[in-house]
Parts: sequence; structure tokens; C-alpha cells
Amino acid sequence: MTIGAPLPRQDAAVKVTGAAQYVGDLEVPGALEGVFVVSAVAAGRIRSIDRADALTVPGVVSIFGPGQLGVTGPIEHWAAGQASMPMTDAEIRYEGQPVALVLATTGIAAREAAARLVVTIDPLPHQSSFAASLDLGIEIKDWAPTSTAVGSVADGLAAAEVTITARYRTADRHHVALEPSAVVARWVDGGIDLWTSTQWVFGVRAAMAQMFSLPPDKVRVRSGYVGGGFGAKGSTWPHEFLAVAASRAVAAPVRIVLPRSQTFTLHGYQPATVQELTLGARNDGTLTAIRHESWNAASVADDYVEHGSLGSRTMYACPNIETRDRIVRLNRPQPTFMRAPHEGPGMVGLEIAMDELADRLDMDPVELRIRNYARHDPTSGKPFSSKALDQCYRLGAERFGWARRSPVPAAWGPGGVRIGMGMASALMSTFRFGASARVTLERDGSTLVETGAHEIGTGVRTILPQIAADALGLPIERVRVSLGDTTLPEAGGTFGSATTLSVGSAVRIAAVKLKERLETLAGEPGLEPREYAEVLALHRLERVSEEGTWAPTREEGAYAMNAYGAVFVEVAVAPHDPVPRVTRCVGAFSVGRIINPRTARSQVIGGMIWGLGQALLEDSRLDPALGRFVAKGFGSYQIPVNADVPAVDAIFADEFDPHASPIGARGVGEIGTIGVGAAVANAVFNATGVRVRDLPIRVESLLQP
Amino acid sequence: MKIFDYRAANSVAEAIAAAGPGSAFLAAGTEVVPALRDGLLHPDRLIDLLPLGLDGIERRDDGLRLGGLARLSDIASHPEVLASAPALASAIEQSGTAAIRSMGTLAGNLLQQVRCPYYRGAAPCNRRAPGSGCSVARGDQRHAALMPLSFHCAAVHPSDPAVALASLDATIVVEGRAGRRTLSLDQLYPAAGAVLGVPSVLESGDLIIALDLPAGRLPGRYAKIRDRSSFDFALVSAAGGLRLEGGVVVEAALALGGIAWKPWRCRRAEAMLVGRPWSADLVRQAVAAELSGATPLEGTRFKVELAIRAAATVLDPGGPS
Ligand SMILES: Cc1cc2nc3c(=O)[nH]c(=O)nc-3n(C[C@H](O)[C@H](O)[C@H](O)COP(=O)(O)OP(=O)(O)OC[C@H]3O[C@@H](n4cnc5c(N)ncnc54)[C@H](O)[C@@H]3O)c2cc1C
Repeated sequence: MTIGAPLPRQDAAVKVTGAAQYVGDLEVPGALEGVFVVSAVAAGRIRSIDRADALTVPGVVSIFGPGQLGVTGPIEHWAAGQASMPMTDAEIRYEGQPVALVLATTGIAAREAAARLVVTIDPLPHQSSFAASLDLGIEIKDWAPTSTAVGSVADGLAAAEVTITARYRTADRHHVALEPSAVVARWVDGGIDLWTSTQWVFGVRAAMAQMFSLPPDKVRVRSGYVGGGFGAKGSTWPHEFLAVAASRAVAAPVRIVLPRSQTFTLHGYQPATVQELTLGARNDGTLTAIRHESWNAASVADDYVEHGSLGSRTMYACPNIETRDRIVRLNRPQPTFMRAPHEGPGMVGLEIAMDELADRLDMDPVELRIRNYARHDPTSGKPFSSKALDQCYRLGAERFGWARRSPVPAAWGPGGVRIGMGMASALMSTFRFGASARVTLERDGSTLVETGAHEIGTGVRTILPQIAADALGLPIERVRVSLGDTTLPEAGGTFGSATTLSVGSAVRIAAVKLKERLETLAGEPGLEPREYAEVLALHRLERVSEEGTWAPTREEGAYAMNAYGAVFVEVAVAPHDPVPRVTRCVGAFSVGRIINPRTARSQVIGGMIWGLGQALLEDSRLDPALGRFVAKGFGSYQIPVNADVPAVDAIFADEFDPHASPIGARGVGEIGTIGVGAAVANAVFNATGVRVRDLPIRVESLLQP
Repeated sequence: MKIFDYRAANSVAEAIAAAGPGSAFLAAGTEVVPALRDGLLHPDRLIDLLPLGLDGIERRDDGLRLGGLARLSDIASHPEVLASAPALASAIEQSGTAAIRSMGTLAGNLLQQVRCPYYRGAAPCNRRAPGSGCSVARGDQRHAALMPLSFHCAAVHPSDPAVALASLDATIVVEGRAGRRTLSLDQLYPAAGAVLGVPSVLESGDLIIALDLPAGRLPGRYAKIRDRSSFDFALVSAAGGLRLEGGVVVEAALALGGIAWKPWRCRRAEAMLVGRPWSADLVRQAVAAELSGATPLEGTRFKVELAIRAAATVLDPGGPS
């Protein structure tokens, strides 16, 4: 059995040796390099563009201003990151919006000319402060309902013996993938040949086909290796459309590699949220009411709902639950999904509130959660496909040594350093997409898995061959994989933690069909892998190929599906340097069957580290006067460095989810990030007695003498 | 990036002669090269100083002499520095990353530009674009100064070593067109109220040859408070130490970082400490008095308490020495 084996990353060597090719590395003869000039103001109208100085830079080929690329906006498409299309009119809707595109024979020339271009903008008043605009919050129609209600929270609160009401905040955060987004566009033979660092080649193809009125088969999209996406590369963004339009305009290939600063405004970020939570409970801890209202900052460029209250609809057994998500449209760049959207910010509110409740009830926080354990989805009433969260609480608490926690804040202090322990539950809705894959066996016994899925650093290049190898009884070394190309069988985007379960199921179906085909050819069941070549030779076949397609079924819709976790964190706060430092972190997860414990562990510990960033560092501060994000680089936008990352440990519940996918898996990718933020805040409370409700937790909050 | 001329200097005299309006000295370039790329520096000519050497560390009768182009990591690991100026070694060890410390020079460190995100991020900033306004006043203030240079600029000087050097009474040996002169650290940086966006008062052609650490100073310690555990500039830092006799402070040195456009030597606090019996409260009062002249922006108010804590760490006679 290859499934369940801790196989190492198949692409590790090419990545660490630099052999892996990214879009920015491609040699493209005759390509022009493109650089955007972006607006420095958050609202206004472009009055003029003076090209004279920029055109004197040797190597400059063209400079396009608004309306000169032959495209019109907006674009309404499910795969587009935002409807608003920059450079189609003179209006400025957000800071950082492209206002001109410079093409030159070298990147240096393009950058120099871009710096010399004089764009005059008449500024207009703008509204970009989220904190000051909550009352502008509106509910919109979205893929999930923005409000739900079961029972009556008013009745639940009337029956409560204890209530907690508070406001919680999470910050604007940027994806900052190490590889900045890059695109090479070629308009050829009335069609598009596109390389782009995307998480979803088929999404890009569909959006491009609509934008340029082409049949999808005239659009080819390839992604190659993708140096991290985290959601920023999940949709099709204006720079990709505009690169294609530019290539069409100049009849040459065009490459655009976004400078780091533009990655802060051109392909989304996780918007700040404000969450208002009310919990009602009896003295024994039984929840009688949950109300969760969430607001997120959004853009006038398009709508984006951070469904902050999503987790509260499902997490705890409670007869009365009301939730609502609102957005506030502002003059800011468009937000988007970011690793662990929705519950990622949303569970911060719910899980700190639960800690506050446990404290008020003088009850162990794990005990409180077990007391309210949901055995079916309290909002939809559906049974869960599979859920082993109870195991997670137990395993995680044991591994962490939760029993040693003192319930009294600030109780211990060796050397004056206060040590605190905190925990939180994690939950993330399971996303599943239809997917197809082709598995081909060559006469020499080598096997190729082909599917239009993507390797963005999550381990897809290891998992998919592993699943095929398992079904065919081959060692993984015999299986190659080809990904990220719309000429391959169609798969969904690599996001929503859905690739292993969705594409993996398609690969398994294809591989099983292939095995059956070989057995049919051989005329006998139970064919040994070493006999495959013989069968092919006998039938004078160079190769045999099978396609597999998998899609979620309607019957499975009768189940509520989520990934779960329990996160335990220890923090230290020193009196003279009270910046909270996380010293230990243990996560236990219920995610269905583990296909590869090594890559799965790598995903969740990476997620937990990502969560430490949310808890303590990541904070894209928007200057409300200028309407711009202040940090536009790694110098000021801080993510954890190694020294901030303590021992991080992850364990998985033993589980097989029969309803989520034929391979028994749910999603692993994002659940690790959820819960960490709240667990750190709860540990800080346990250490210091200071209740912090805003993330990231800053030393400022812990400075009372 | 505009086209510029590159000259390697073979002697100090040659380096000074090659300098002029629009020229810039280049040491290891950890600061200069990113600044060129980010459009913060537009020189016509770069004068490479590395061929000059000037990177020795030598003991002299009256103290230690550190070459202006000495590598940060060489200074921090030097036995004489570790023995007589551990505050400096510690400040360097807590600066940047190993790669930056191995490349970066001492003079380059003292002359680095501010880290203010408005300056670095192409937002309105008087330092980068005189007259465009200081965004900090109405903007993000968390990393700004408690004691700003002037209403033109509220950025802090980012150097850690400079704070230690200030506490150690270091002097800077500068060679320029008019010959050689010696500056205190306080004299190296602009005087309060200045409107220029320059990191120091040095003029074109002024070369930092060396830094002198006088003998007999308190060795001191360095405490740096920062959001990340490593690879981060200080929110606030403190360098210094004290000497007690019978529980009474007889000598004290304290400099604070992260609160002003220059390392802030705390003469007033030192004077309050000396001659009094040491107590944690006394340290708190002395630092509070030192900072009482500050009129903090709302977003920097927390730095007062942070500075008190950082100072308490280095002025704790029971702490590690
Ligand atoms: C990512 C990063 C993180 C950092 N973190 C820290 C930190 O935590 N703490 C800290 O203190 N510092 C930090 N630094 C600053 C670092 O220490 C300096 O960049 C480095 O010391 C500069 O030395 P250099 O030789 O590279 O200078 P260069 O880049 O070559 O020069 C810097 C400036 O000094 C001038 N100059 C250099 N030598 C002389 C001389 N002899 N005479 C006159 N002028 C001269 C140059 O003209 C230029 O203006 C960091 C830097 C980076 C890039």
C-alpha cells in the first residue's frame, strides 16, 4: 500500500536546487517586459499622462493609458478576482490601481520609463477607513447565505444564566507568496497562449474566453510551478487580462512580473473583520444562544464577503443560533480568499468568546467545548459525513500536557516570566470540486498522471502519483505527473483544500480503470504489476490510457462536511520585554483519511505557523488619510521568521470519511491555520490576565505596569 | 534606475577627491543597493570604498579603534570588543540577519536611512520628496519617534549599534576635504528641528575612517524590544549599565533607541541615578523624567513604558552582566 506511506516530496530536489521553472524564468524570444504605473491616490480621475520623458528611455516600445488596450470593463465572471477592470476608463477606485502599462525590451528599461511617466490625477474624496464605516455595512447575495437563524437567540438569552458579549477584530492581511504573480501572454493566431502563476488554469481559461470573446479551445493556459498562492492566485486578476490585451496590441509576447509592492494591491488580501459575539449559557456550560455578526472591509471594485460567522453556524450544539455577515464597500483594493478564509478570521471571535465563557463559568475550556459537542449540524440539521473532533480534543490535550494548565490567570512565573496555556477549536467547511484525470501506462512500465490541477507548494506532485501508484501496485518512482495545463483533463482550482480529495479521487478512478483494462487485455484478474509490460507487448500496444472523472453527488449533499481541529498553545510573556512569544504549539486534526502523513503534516504545521502570523504579526495597516496600505514589502509587512516558530506538533485522528470522497479524505491544507489565533489570545489571557480581542496581539496591549 | 559611474577608490584621498554633488560612497551596499533599486537614491557616481580596507580592530592606549569599514560580524566576535564593550557586541548580534552582519560595515550601519514605511514605500514623505508632507502625523505611527526630529519628519534612527556606541561615548573619526575631525555620536546626527532628510550631518566627501571607543567605560548591556524574535528593527531598545558602591549608584550610562532620529543618550536620567541608592523605582523615575519632554503622537505613547522596561533590563544590577 502506497497510500498512507510518508513519501517525501517528489519535487523537493528541483525546488531546492533552483531547477524548477517559474513563469518569470521562462525564456520567451521576443518578449516585451511590462510594468504597470499605479495610482497613488484612492479615488480620483486621471487628467493626463505625459509620456515625453518616459519615451526617451532606450528600449521603450509602447506606453498604454486608459482605454488604449482595446478592452472594456467591467468583467462579470465567476473566475475573475474583481469585476472592475483598470485601464478601461479614467476613474480611480483604489490606491495601487494600474493607470498605465509600459512595454520595453528589458525589464530595466520598462521600470525606468514607468518611473518617468507623469500621470496627473485629480483626486476625489475617498472612504477607505473600515473602522469608521461599520454603519455602512450591507448584506449581499453570495455563494453562501449571509444570514442564518435557528431557534430564537432572544429566548436562548432569556434562558441563559451567563452571557458574554464582545467585539473582536482581525487585521487586513496579505498573502505575500514568495513568487510574485507573473504572466507571459502571447496572442497567436487569433487565440491566447498564456503562462501565468495561477492556482486555477481552467478558471483563467474561462475568464479569458469571455473577456476576449473566444471559444475556450482558442485559449491555452499553463502554470508551471507556482511559488505559493494562498488564494492570491486563485482567481483571474486584471494584470492577466491586461497582459493579453497588450500582447494583442503589439503583436508580441508580453511578460509582466509584478514588483513586490504591486502584489499588495493587484490580487487581493484577507480583509479586516469586526465580529460581534453574544453567547448565552447555563451554569453547567450548556450553550443556550449564539449570535455572531461579522463585518468585513470590501472594495468598490467588486464585492467580497468574508463569511466570518460561517463556523458559528456549525461548531457547537445549540438550539438558538443567529449569524450575519456584512460587507463595507470602500475605496480599497479588492480583497479575496486567503488561506483559511471565512472560518480563519471568524473562529477568532467564536473561540475567544468561548474562552471568556469558560473563564466566567470557572470551567475548563476543553470541558466547555465537549459539553457543547455537536453531533449533527445545528443549523442545517444534517448529519456530519464524519467527525472525530472529540478524539482531537483528547489526543491534543494529552500530547500538549493540558492537564498541567493552571486555570488562574498569571498563576505561574518562573524567573518573572509568565507562562500561559490556551486552546481553541478549529473548523473549516469542506470544499469539493468535479475533477478529471488521465493515467497512462507505457510499455516500459512508466506511468504518467495528467490533470489540469496545480502544484502550489502543497504536495500535489507527490500525492497524485502516490494515489496512482497505490491503485496500480507500482512504486512511486515509476509514476510521473503532468499538471497545470488546460490541454490536460479538466480539474478545479488548487484552493479550498480540495485538490487531494477531488483530483485524487479522479486519479484513483482512472488508475483503477486502467488496471481493469489491463486485466481485461490479459484475460485474467489479479494481474501483477510486473506483468503489465508483457500484456502491452502481447497486444502490440505502446501504452494504455484511461480517464477518470469524479464529482460530488447529490446524495452526499445530505451530509455536513467539515475539517476539524483542536489547537493548544503555550506562550511566555517576560516582564521587561512583554512581547508574547509562543513556546509550544500542538494541533490535533480530524480531516478524514491521511494519504501521506509526511505531506499532510507539512501542510498543517505550515498552517499553524501561518496562524502564528495571524496571532502575533500580520497586520497590513491601511492609512485612512491616504487610503493606502502602508507596508508594501517584507521590510514592513511582517511574517514570522524561524526564531518566532517554536516546536510545532501535529497529530491526526484515525478516520475514513466515506461520504466526502472515495479515497476517504477531506481537506488538509487550510485547517491548520484555524484556531491558532484564538488559542494564542487565550494563552495570553491565561498568562497575564489581559483579555486581548484584537489580532495581531501587540505588546501595546500588555503594557500595564 | 539611472545610469551611473562607478569608481573603485584606492586611497582615502582618491575617494574624497572623487566625491562631489550627486556622488555616493558604497561600502558593502546592503543599504545602497536596495535604495538604488527602490528609487531612494539617484547617484551620478558610486565610489566603492571596500578597496580601502579600513576594517581593522585595534587596541590603543586610550581604548579600542574600530575601522569604519569593519564588518559588523567581525566586531561582534572580537575578543577585545566582547571584553570591554559587550553592549556593542550584543547590539550587533541582535541586528538584521547573519548575512547582513557578515557583509554590512559599521560606518554603513550608522549612516543607514530610516525604515519608516512611508519613506520606503513611495508615500508622501519630506525625507524622500521634500515638501510632500510627513504622512506619519495623520497616519500609521507605531514605528515613529517619541521625540521627532521636527514636524517635517517623525522617523526613528534604525541602528542598534549606534545606541550601544552612544552609551559607550564613542567618537567618530571623519576625514574630509578640510582634513580630519572627530565627532561625538550626537554630533554625527542632525540637531533637533532640522528639516533635511539626511541621515547625518556628513557632507559629500566626508569619509568615516574609524570609531574610537574610549577606555574605562561601563561595558554595559543591550536590550532590544521588537515584534519578531529576530530579523526586526527595534520598537525600543536600551544600552547601558551602572556601577554600584554599597547599593548606591556611582556611575551610570544609558542610551535609548527607537525613540528619536538619533540614539538618545539619557544624560538627565544618568544624573538622577548617580548618587542615589539603586531601586527599580528609581530607574523608572529617571527614565520617565528623561522622556518627560516628549509629546508623543497617539500611536507612539506606548513607547514610554516600553523604554522604561528596556532601560530597566540594562540597569538591573542583578541581571546578567
Ligand atoms: C534587511 C535588513 C535588515 C537590517 N536590520 C538591521 C537591524 O536590525 N539593526 C541595525 O542596526 N541595522 C540593520 N540593518 C542595517 C545594516 O546593518 C546596514 O545596512 C549595514 O550595516 C550597512 O553597511 P554597508 O557596508 O552595506 O553600507 P552601504 O549600503 O554600502 O552604505 C550605507 C550608507 O553609508 C554610507 N557609507 C558607507 N561607508 C561609509 C564611510 N566609510 N564613510 C562615509 N559614508 C559611508 C554610504 O554612502 C551609504 O549612504 C539591516 C539592513 C537590512 C538590509
